[in-house]
Order: sequence, then structure tokens, then C-alpha cells
Amino acid sequence: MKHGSIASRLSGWPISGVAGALPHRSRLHGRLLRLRHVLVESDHFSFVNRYLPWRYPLGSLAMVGIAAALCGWFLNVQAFTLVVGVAAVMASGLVWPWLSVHAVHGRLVFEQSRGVEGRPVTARLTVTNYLPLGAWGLRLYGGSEGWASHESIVNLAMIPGWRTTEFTFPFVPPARGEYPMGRAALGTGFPFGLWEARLELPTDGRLIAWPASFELDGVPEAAASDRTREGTVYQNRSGHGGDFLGVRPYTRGDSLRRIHWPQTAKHGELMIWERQASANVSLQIVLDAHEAIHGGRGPDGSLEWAIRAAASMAKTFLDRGALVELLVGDVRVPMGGGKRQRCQVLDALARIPSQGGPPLERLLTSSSVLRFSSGLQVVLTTDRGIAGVPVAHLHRRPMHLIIFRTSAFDPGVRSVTEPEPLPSQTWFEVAAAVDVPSSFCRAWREVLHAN
Amino acid sequence: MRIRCVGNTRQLEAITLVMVGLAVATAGLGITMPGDPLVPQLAATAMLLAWAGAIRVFLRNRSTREKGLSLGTMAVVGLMLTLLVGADLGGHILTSKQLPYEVVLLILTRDAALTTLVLSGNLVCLRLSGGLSVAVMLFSSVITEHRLIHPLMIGYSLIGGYWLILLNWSQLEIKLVEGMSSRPPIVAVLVWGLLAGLFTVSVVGPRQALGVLAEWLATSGGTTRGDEDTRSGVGDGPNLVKGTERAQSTGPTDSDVFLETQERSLYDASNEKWGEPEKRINRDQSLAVAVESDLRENTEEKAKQPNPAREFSVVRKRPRNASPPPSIAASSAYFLKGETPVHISQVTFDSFDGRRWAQPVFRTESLELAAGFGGWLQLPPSLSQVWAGDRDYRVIVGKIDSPLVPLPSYTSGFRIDKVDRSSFFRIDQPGIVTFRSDAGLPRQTAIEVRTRSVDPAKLRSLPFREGARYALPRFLTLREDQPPGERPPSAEPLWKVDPRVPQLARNWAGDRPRGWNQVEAIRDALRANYRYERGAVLPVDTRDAVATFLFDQHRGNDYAFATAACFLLRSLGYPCRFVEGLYVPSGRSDPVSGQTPVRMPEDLHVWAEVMTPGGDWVVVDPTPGYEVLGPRQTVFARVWGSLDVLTSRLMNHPVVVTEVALAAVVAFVCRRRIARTLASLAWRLEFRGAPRRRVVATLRLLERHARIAGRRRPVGITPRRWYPEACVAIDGPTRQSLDGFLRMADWAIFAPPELPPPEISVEIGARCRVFARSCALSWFVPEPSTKWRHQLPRGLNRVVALGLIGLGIHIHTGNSQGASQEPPPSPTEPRAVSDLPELPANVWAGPPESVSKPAPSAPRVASKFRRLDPYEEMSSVERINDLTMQGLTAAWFFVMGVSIGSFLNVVIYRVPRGLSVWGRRSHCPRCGVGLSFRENMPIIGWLRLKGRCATCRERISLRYPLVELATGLIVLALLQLELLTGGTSIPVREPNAYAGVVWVIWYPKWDLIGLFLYHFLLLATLLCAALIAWDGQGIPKGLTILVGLVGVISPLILPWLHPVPPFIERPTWFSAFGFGPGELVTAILGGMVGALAGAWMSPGRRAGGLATSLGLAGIYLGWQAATSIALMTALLKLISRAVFTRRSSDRSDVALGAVATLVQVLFWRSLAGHSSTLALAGTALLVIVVGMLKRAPLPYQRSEAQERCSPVVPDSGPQWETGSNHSGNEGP
Repeated sequence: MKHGSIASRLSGWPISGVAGALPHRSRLHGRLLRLRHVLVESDHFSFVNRYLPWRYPLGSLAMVGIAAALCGWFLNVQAFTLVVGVAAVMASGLVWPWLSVHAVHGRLVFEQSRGVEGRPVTARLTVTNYLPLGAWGLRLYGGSEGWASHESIVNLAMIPGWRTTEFTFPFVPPARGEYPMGRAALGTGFPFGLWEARLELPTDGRLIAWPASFELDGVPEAAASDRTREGTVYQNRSGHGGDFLGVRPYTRGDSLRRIHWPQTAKHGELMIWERQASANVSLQIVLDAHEAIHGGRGPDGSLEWAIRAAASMAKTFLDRGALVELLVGDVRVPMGGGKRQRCQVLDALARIPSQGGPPLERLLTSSSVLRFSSGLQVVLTTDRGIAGVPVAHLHRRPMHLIIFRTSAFDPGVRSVTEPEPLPSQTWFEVAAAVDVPSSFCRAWREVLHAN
Repeated sequence: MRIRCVGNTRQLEAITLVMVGLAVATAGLGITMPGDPLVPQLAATAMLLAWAGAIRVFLRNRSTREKGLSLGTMAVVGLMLTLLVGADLGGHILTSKQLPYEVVLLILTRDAALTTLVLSGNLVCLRLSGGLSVAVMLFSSVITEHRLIHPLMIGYSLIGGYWLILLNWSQLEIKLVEGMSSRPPIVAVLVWGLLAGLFTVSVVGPRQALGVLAEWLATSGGTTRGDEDTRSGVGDGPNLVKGTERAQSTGPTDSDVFLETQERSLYDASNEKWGEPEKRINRDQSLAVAVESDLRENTEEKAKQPNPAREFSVVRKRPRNASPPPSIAASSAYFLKGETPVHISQVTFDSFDGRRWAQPVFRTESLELAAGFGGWLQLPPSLSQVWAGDRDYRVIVGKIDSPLVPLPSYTSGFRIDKVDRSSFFRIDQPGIVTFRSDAGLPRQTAIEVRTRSVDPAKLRSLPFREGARYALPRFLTLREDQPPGERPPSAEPLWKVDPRVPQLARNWAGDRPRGWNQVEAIRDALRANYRYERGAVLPVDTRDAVATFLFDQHRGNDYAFATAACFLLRSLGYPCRFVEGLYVPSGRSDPVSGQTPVRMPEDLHVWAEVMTPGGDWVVVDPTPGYEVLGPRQTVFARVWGSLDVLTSRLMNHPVVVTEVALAAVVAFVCRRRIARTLASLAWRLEFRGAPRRRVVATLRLLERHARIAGRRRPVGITPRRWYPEACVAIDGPTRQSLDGFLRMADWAIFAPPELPPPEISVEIGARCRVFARSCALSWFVPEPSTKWRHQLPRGLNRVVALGLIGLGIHIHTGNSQGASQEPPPSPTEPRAVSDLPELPANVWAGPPESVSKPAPSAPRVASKFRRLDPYEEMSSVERINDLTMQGLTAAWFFVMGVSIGSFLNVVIYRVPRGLSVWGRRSHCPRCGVGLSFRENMPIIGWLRLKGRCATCRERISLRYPLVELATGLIVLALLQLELLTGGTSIPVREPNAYAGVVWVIWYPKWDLIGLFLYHFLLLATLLCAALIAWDGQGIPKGLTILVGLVGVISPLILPWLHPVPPFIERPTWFSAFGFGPGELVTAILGGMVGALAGAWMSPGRRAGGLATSLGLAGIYLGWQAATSIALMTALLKLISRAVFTRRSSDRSDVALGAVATLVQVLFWRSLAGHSSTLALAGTALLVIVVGMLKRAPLPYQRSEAQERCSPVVPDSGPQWETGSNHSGNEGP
């Protein structure tokens, strides 16, 4: 399921919610659907869930047992039969999983050390069962943090008794990060799923899942650096300096100094010198990962999308031979190029913790930002992040801001007021959480061809 | 290797269907009443399941075709589901009159399980249907006693286990590594489960394991853990006790009363194939109380013969004065309803030996009862032409063990419900019918009897020929006619009547023509010349009792009179017999129920009967003081008689008459004011709808005022012309207002519909209202009562004086009302302390608990309420159970009440302001922040917040928790005083003999519960109304109409909601079930009385509040209670006027009415019905006086105008809007 959802996240965004699924719908129909949603799908009392043990299978069965015992006590002893039945089910539902799990030893191995979120990598699980009894209905955990997480990586129907079995299966990292998250565990609730017994698994090797990235069209002119370096790939660039390339008709805005008078005389209209210069391309990505400024949580929050955007930019630039420097939180990946740099940048992006990171103001005043002189300096932040930065810091350097609107990513906030005006350095903004990759690519294309 | 992405839930759905099906089938068993055929119920269950399955299939097909469910599909599925639930629930409600709680709960849970099963495409619904099926199974297994239940439970357990495994597996399946088996390992589970079970059994030992299992199961007898029988013996369990399996085990079943009694039922008695119910003999007790008997030979002749049905000695001991029984109701042999006096024959005798009467040895003619229409059994028809008309009686068997069917004389037919075969009965002697079972009719058997009445005039004209021509000789013989061969040789010589007796008879008959005249002459002579003494006995050594009585003693008891009459009449040739039976005197009947208790042996009596030429026996009662019922009276005679009675009553109650007269005079003096109040009420009812209609209604009010003032508008003159001239007493702004209104009236009457009104239409209503309020009788004539009003006492003196008057009337009323509750004392018998009125008419068809025992007295009921057994006889376990249940019930009711109180707060705040009650979640009105679940909890929420908003610290009024607490306390009070006592607080209605949590709530007594809810609705509404009025708002019309309609319509469907009939003699057209027009009378009368009293007491601007609340109380409780409430309100008003200022007193009117209603409901039996004329007169007087204290507001007074202009600001601080608890989510 995760596989599918990540693929869809990157390709096209499904419209969530009930109300928006069908466009042509009467008001009554909409109300009925909402009613169904309210009656069947909503959890109205989620805040009291932790006080309600009967919301979980074991608790609900225990409640049945208590009710039957009360009925038996006060009304009819026949109800004690049900108490016995429920007690038997509960006992076997507790003892069986405990036995199954404690008779099993195993080990989890990832065959690759790098992967991308949402794309499968091969994993191998070796399990030994010491009981003559098979262990059924096992779940492998480790896909998300926390021992009590409910989402399993993969499920196994059965581990036969008295033997060692090896399973190879595709492991799809549900999100960027380092796997197994926390500790890998094997659990089973078989037969009744009332309670799950778990066993910790030792793991060989770790898997770093990079953030997913999307293809960007090209590198903007602004990324050209004045400093040239030998050995790097040049990129042709038309402009005011460099070698003479040719002439072209005058367009509004061209400098009068660049008018090629002889050709003007010859053609009878204004002609302009066209020059080109080779330039080095360098990119500095400043990613604001401060927890408080981002909207939404999990894989659809603005932080994750900012990380994916940073990964996409870094990949695009490195693929074209540019130099890339990453500044995120307290981590700085120095300027560099090539495959090694790509690994380092993406690893750093994969390891960004979901919480923490200094505020943007501190990043902008750091020496690496201030020293960055030529090339493209991109700051990925949100409207909330930029609001906390003094204007003087923004004007100190010609930086390009890519701003994510937090209100679009935060499902709890329905902003009805006009959005806050953004500073003039804003390159473009991502104002909708729907289909972020295409809107980002579109905006990228616009700034690419702006000149 | 890949991972599967989809799971298959189809098998899971199928298993869910099977599981729910098993649960539904078990529920069907539980719903089936014992004895009902099982097949229809199973067929119905199968149809329900099939229907649910069909909906599921339809829904699945549609959902695969449609991307999202279309409106049509949803509508169709909704309709099908409604049909499913409606058919199930409605079918049961229609086919069964009284559904117990558990059955209702079971049906609802079953329908919920089926509904979620239909929607099981959604995983949440699928799980929910599984959970609901467990609940259904649990409840069914608790209430079902069928042999199929165990296989069903086992099957359900197995399927349920499999369902759990599948449910777990269906979640596992989604990420299962491909290539592995996706089927759940059921075989493995079975094998390993069995192995584990065998292992456990082998370790523990099979005997112990079985023993442990047996401990958990019911064995024989008893259904609760506290029963001794539950854990011992082997048998068929509760079936043996209940008799649901075999009828021989016990008699009456399914009645919580008969579960505990050993008495026989009518069915036992009427079925000869069945034996007697088993009775447990307490041998220990018998041994313990056995004492040595010191019986001595009684030399005196025993009054009680060894064979009393065969012989009757005229010579007897003096009757002993037995101590009066504790309760007449408890000791009465029969209860008779109908015209009295009545003679009920029991035994007849025809041969006499000088001392004792004897029955003939041989049987009389074999007479058969004929089965008539509708279960009536007809006695042999009569050929005589002496009958005047029919009378109907109703006899209820009391404490007597006799096979005799108690039939009054001249019975033509009788009927016992459900015992309609003539072979159950036998005619022993003409007019005497016995039941074939030896032990006789069980208690509470109701016998309907139809008798004829004898017309003495026809009797007198009947030709009586010599007796031997038409009667058997033994009814004419004057000597002992036993054949000499059968007599023992030592016996005394045969007796022969004294020769002086025929002579005396002839002398008395004189020259009267032969016939009934002679019989009457003999009877009258006996009555005139001989003295009746109850204790007078004949000498022990007398040989000829007749001669001794007639010629020596001249005084005697009824034996002597009857015997003498027999022989005097026989000597004249009239066939005559001596009859022993019961005499039911007139004037002893209970005034409320109309029943006369017939007691043994106090009412035993003997008389003579003469045979007419047609073969009918006619009663001749020669004993002085004993009357024979004459023919039915004509209409004229009855009217004359009632006038006579009325006159004597008036003469006997001078105080009452004076008070009524006084009240009538006051009413006459205030007639204009009363008429004006009525006109205002009518205007209030009419004043609605379009502006034109409102103007016309107001014009009608003006016309009525004119009519009352004697200035009626002549025909042909328009209002515009008439009223400026007729209203002579007004000028200035009032006249301008009249002119303005008349312009509007012109428009309303004459203008075409398309012509716009002269005013803005919004203002028309307001202007009409202002005009109507200012409209007064004084416009037409100078103020008539000004002079008188000035003469009224003023200030505090007035209040004290009127208060004293009211108090005196109330005390007087209470005394007289208390006296009227007591039955009139009998001169001979002391009355029981509290003889509850009226046994229900339909004894066997009615609710069993109220009729199977004789009516207990109210204090006794009150002392033993809540429990079946005396507290000392309960075991400790039962005691703990009992206390726990009581506590839990009270707590639950309190919590419910408090929650309803929270809702009432919403109603009080939002409804007068036109806000939606359901719309928005509770929030602080200042900062608008919604309340959380915890903050919204009644009382606790306020305490947690310490009376301030958590966000803005705004003060929250203390009124909210107080209203919640008050509602909770009202519920508790109603629970304790009305519900759990079995209705001892309710008048007229007989309290339930078995009360308490178990017998009222667990075995639901729907009539009581209905009364509880009915009264709570009234009190809650009045609480709302009081607080709304206190806030200065008008009581919302919608609320009033809704609650009033509920109050009127509910008793039409459930007549027991009005326990007090509008008249003391409950009319026959008051049906016990179904539509009863009498309830409409009660509601309308009550509503009118209440509304009138309220409107009178609170005239002016706020008249609506008190009138509405008292009117509602009258609708709910009847007019008698309405007068009582009006009286209390008047008293409270007097007190409040003395204590508070006038303004607060105005606002508290409705609250006073509500308090009075609460007191009335809680102590209804004590305050019941101020229905005596005295009470009515006193109440009317006080209400009128209180109403007079208020002046009608003068038009356009400054204060009035100010009040209109400035909105009234409530005093209770900022209004904190609270919502009901269930509004935990935001509204749509």
C-alpha cells in the first residue's frame, strides 16, 4: 500500500476525502455522504480512546466476558457458559502468540545499503523455529519508529516447526531515513489477533532510504558562477561579456552600448552585439528544517516536501556537473561535485531528523551562507519561517527563496484570510499541497525561462 | 518474491453472515413466548436473514459498478433497511401488547447487527456486526430456555472463533509474501486446540474437568447465582419451576406473581385432566407447632353439621361475636358489583323434621346449562310472565373455597372468561350452579351474571292454583315424610306441623284472593307481628320449632322466620322451600369502586322461596330488615329519586352549599371579567397567520369586549362607524390607537387581496398586540368595579387577611378531601384503615400483578416497596444484590436526569432566542470557544472550571449546575416516590403489589414507567417554562404546543396515563386499552381549568406564562389536580407577594406554578383531586381573590410603554450556553 501511495505522491495526487470524489453531486447526496462519513468513518471520540480498552480486541472481549459474568450472576447462570467460552478464547489468544514468538529466533539482512523511499530493496529474513508447532501469522516490524508501531513491513503466513527458513522479500521503505527504524521485530497475534507478542530481531547492515526526487528541466542562468575552475563542464551563456558570438536584432531593454552600428547601417535596423562566456555552475541549498515552521506531519508535511525538493535540485545540478553545497540544520555538506558528493548530500537529507534544527535566522547568519559569493543560493523555507527573519538578513545577499505555504500542508488549518505578502527575494512559492512535484516543476520552468 | 497488496474479505463476509444468522436465530428463540409455535419464528428469522443478504448483494453489485454510491442506490438501500428494521420491530410491537425490556433490547440489537451486516463492505461495520452478534447471543442465552440453545451456542462459539481468526488473517493477508498460503490454518488450529484440551484433561483428570464444567452450568431450578437450587441436583432446570415444558409441573406460568405462589389458577380448575399443583409441605414446621389437643365432648348440638350441605338445623347456639377481620378486602368471600340488595342462593331444603331442614336424598331433574353466544352459559328458560327487566352483575371470587357459583336470584345466564363449556358446571338445584371441581373457583375469578327482575304487579295478577297441580309434593308437605323403614327404631316419632299453623295462615290471608297477595300478606304479617333478633335462639329441647316460634317465643332469628313462612305458605297450598344463601344488603358498596364485599359468615342468611305456576322460584324474605330487590325503575322514577337525593344532600351539607353559593355569587359578580379572560384566551389562540388574519382576530376581540359590555355592534353598521361612537370612555392616545386599528380593520375586511396594508406588514402584528392588550371593557362603559375595588383591604393587611382566608379554606378543603378519600364508615363494621378502591374490571385479562392478589393497603405497600420478601428473610447475597441494584438504578437515573437538565439549559437559552437546539456545539458566548467533552459534563464541568470560562475567564452563571441538579433531583424523587413504590403516590390507580427495582424496572411495568415519563416530561417542561419566564422571555409557543399535544394524544393511546377519571364513577366508555374518548375529556377539562385559573391569577401582560403552565399541568393530571395546583399556586403567590417585590413576584408566577405541580405530582395521593364541591368552591374563591389583587394594566401607562421598548435583561449574569452531552462532535 505504501508503495502505491508514494508512487501516486510522485506522479499524480489523488483527491482525498469523500466530498470531492465525484464532481457532479447534489447537495442532498453530499449530505448523505457526509452523514455516512460521520457515522461510519469518523472517530468522534478519539480523545477518549486511551480510556476505552474495549476499542481493542482483547478489551472488547474482556468486556463481553464481564457482561456475561454479570448476566450470569444476576439473571441466568446459562450466561456463565459464555464466560467460559470467552475466557478460553482469551487464554488461547494470549498463550499461543507468546509461545509462538518465544520459540523463534531470526535475523534480518538488507542486501543494499542505499535505497529511495517508496522503491523496493531486497531484504532477507532468516528464522529458526524451535517448536514442533508451526508459527503462523507473523508480522515483521521496523518500518517506522517506535516499538509499538502498528504498520508492519511484511507479513509471513507461516514458519514451519523444527527448522530454519529463509525469506527473501522486497522491502519498500515507506519514508526516507535509516532502516530498520528503531529495532526490527517479529510479532504474531495468531490465532485470534487479540494481543500481539513481539520478538526483537538482530539486523545485519542498515539501509539508508534517500528522499524521493523528481526531474527538473535544467539549471537556471543565475547559477552561473564567475569563478571558473578547470576541469568542470562549461555551459554556454549569452551575455554582456566573453567571446563575440554574433549579432541579433535589437529588443527593448538592450543596452545602447551594445549596438553594432555597422550592421545597423547595413540592415537598416538596430542590431546588437551577442557575446558568450563560459561559466562555472554552483548551487548552495539552505534548507530550513526547524520543526515549528513547517506545516503538516509525516510524509505529506511541508518539511518532507522541502527535503524532496532539495534532493531533486541537488540531483539535477550534480547530474549536470555543477557544484553543490548543502546547509541543513547543524549539518553542512561542503561544496563539491560528482557521485561522492551526491551520496553525501542525499545521505544528509535522508538523515534529517523530523524534529529539531536551528531557526532560519541562524542559518542565514552562518559563515558559509555569508561567504557564498557567486552561484545560485537557494533557501528552502516556509512562510512561517520567513516571517521570523529580519528583513536586513534577507537583503544582505542576493538569495533566492523557495517558500512553501504551511497553510496548504496543514490539514487542521483552514485559512480564509488573505495570505501574507512574501519578500521580494522570493523566487517562487509552493502554495498547494496537491501534486507538489508538478507544481514545483512548473514553477522551476518559469524561473528557468524568466530571462 | 513479491508482496500481496489486496486482501480478500469475501469469505470473511460470508462467515459474518453465518455468525450473525446464528445469533439472530437464537434471538428468535428468545423472543418466542413459551408455548408459541417455533416454526413461524424461525421462518421469520430466515426471512430477515434472506432480506439482509439480498440488500448486501444489491449493495455490493452497485458499489462495484459505481465509483461512489449514487443517491439512488443510497435511497434504495435506506428504504430496504427501514423495511427490514420496521418489519422486525413493528411486527413484534403489533402482535404483542406488552413487550418486556429485554425483548425490545434484543430486537433492537438484532436489527442493529443485521444493519451493520448489510454494510459489512466497510471493515468497521463488519467488526461492529460481529460485536453486536455477541451481544445478541449473550442476551438471547440469558432469556431463553429452549433445548436448541446449547447447540446454537456451541455452533456460534466455533463460528465465532473462526471469524476472529479470519478477521486477523484478513489484515495479515495484505502484506503477505507472495507464494505463501493465504488461507488461515484452520486444521492446524483445530488439531492443536484439541491436543491442548486433551492434554489439560489428562493432567487435571477427566472427572475433575467435568466437575468444573458442571459447576458452571445450570442444573435444576433457579436462575440466579443466589439460588440454592442452582448448584444442586439434576433436572431440567428452570423449566421445572416455570412449567414451560410440562404443564403438570406447576399451574400458572409467566406471571411473576404466580411464580411465587402455590395458588391454583383458573386453568387448573377448569381442566380435569390436570392434577393439583405440588405444594411444598414444611414438615419441620408442622412438627414444631404440633401441640396436644384437649378436645372435649360437646354436649350441645353443633352448629356446624358434619354434612352441612345436607341438613340445616333451625335450633342452634347463639352466634359468637367474632372479632372483626383486619381488612374487609382480605376477608371477603365475594365482591359484587351491581344493584343491591341481592339474594344469592346456595342450598335449598324442602323437608323438615321439626328441628332441622334436610335436602332430598335423590337428585332433582337433570337440568343442563346451555352454551350461549360469546361464552355465556344460559340457565333453563323460564315460562313465567313475571319478569320486568334485566340486570347485570359482576361477581369476583374472594377468599372462599366453595364449588358454588355465586349467582344472584333469578339468574338467566352467566359467563366466566375462557371457561365457556357447560360441562364444567352442574345445576344442583334450580337456580343453584356448582363448579365441577371440588375446590371450587380460584380467587379473583370474575363472573358476569345477567339476572331478571320480578315485577310484583305481574306476580299479583298471576293465577296461583292449588300447588299440587304444578309443583312436586315435597314442596307442599307439612310433616316429616321419611319412610318408616329407613328410620332407626330408637328415633323419635315423626313430626307433623302444629294444627294452629294453618289456622294462623288462613287468618292472616283473610279474604284476599288466592295468589301472590296472600303470600305478601303472610310475609307482612310475620314482619309486623314478630321481632327479629339476630341472637335469639330457640330452646334446645324444642320438638316443633315452628310452633315454638309462632306461638310461644314471638321473636327469633332469620331461621325461625323463614321456617315459619315456609309452613304458613305450605299450609295455604303454595309450594315453598327453605333457602340458605348470602344476602348482600344495599348501601354498603364502596363509593369509588362500586363493589360490595360479601363476607362469610356475616352475610349468611336464610329465606323462603315460593314456586310460581311457571316453575320459577320467587324470593319471599319474611325477616324484618331484609329487603327484596324490586323491578327496574322507570326513567321518571329515577329522576324523581335523584332529585330527592339531591335535596336531602343539600339539606345535609349547609356549609358546602353556602360556600358554593358564595362562589357562584363571586363568579356572577366577576362574570364580565371572566368573560374578558376567556375572550383574551380565544384571541391568543386565533392570533396567528397572515397579517390580515391577525387584524381580524383582534377585531373579533374588540367585538367580544363590546358584547360583554353590552354595546354589541348592530348588524349593518361597519366597525369603523360603530366603535368610535360606542367607545365613550376613551380619549387621547387611546382613541387614536382605536382609529388606527379601525383603519387596519377596514383594510383587513374589505380590501382586495392584492391591495397592500396601510402599515408595514411586520408592524401590523405588533400593533395589533399592543391594541389587544390595551383593549378594555372600560372603553364602552365607565369602570364598573372601581368602587368595590377601593373597598378591598390594602397593603400588608390585605395580604395577611387573604392569606388567612386561603389557609382556612385549604385546611378545610384538606379535611373534607381526606374524608372523601375514606370510604363511608359502616354502622356495623369498622372500616379498614385504607381500603383501596376498585379492583380492575377485567381481572383475568388485565396486568397480572395488580389483580392476582387482593388489593394491599397503601402503607403496607409503602413499607414493603422495593423488595418481594421482607428484608429479614433475604439472604445476605440477595440483600447485597438488592442494595446494589437499588444504588445503581438510582445513580443511573440521577445521571440521566442531570444530563437531561444539561439539555434543558440549552432549551432555556436557545429556544426563546430562536436559535437551533441541535445546531451548534456548546460554547462560551463571549469568546466563542467550544466546550470540550470534559467541560461539557453536567455539574462536574462547571465545578472543574470553577465557574469561569477556561479561555476568557468569563463568569458562568451558577444557574446551569443548579438546573442540572434540580432535574436530577426531580428524576430521583419521581423514581423513589412514584416508580419504585409501585405507584403508591398515584390516586385511584391500585398500587402494584410487587414493587421495587426488580418488579417495576426489570420486569417492566409499562404503565408505571409510562406515568413516570409522562410526569417527568411535564415537570421538565414546567422547569423550562419557569426559567424562561424568569428571564423575561415569552414561553415559546412551539414548545407549549408540542408538549400539550403529547399530553393529549398519549393518554388516548395509553389510557392509564390518566389514572383519575373526570368523574368519580368511572364511566363505562372509559376503555382500559385503546382509544378512549374519556381521556380526551380529562385532558380538555384539565387544560381548561388550569388555563383559566392561571389566566385569572396572572392577568395583564404576562398572563400567558402561568396560564400555559397550569393548563399543561391540567392536561397531564386532570381537572381535579389542576384545581389543587391552582390552590397551591394561589397560596404561594400570596406568600411571595408578601415577601418579594411586585416585579419579582410577576416573574416568579410560572415558577410558583411549577413548584405547585411538582408537589402535586409527588404527593398526588395525599393531595388528590380537590373534586368535592367544597374544595372546588374554596379553590375558585381563592383563585378569584388572588386574581383580583392584580389590576388590569391601563393602556399606555408609562411603565408599560417602557417595558415594551426596553428589552428585559436577565439577572443571571452572562448567558453561558451549554449543550447536551451527546453533542461531542460539531454539528453539520
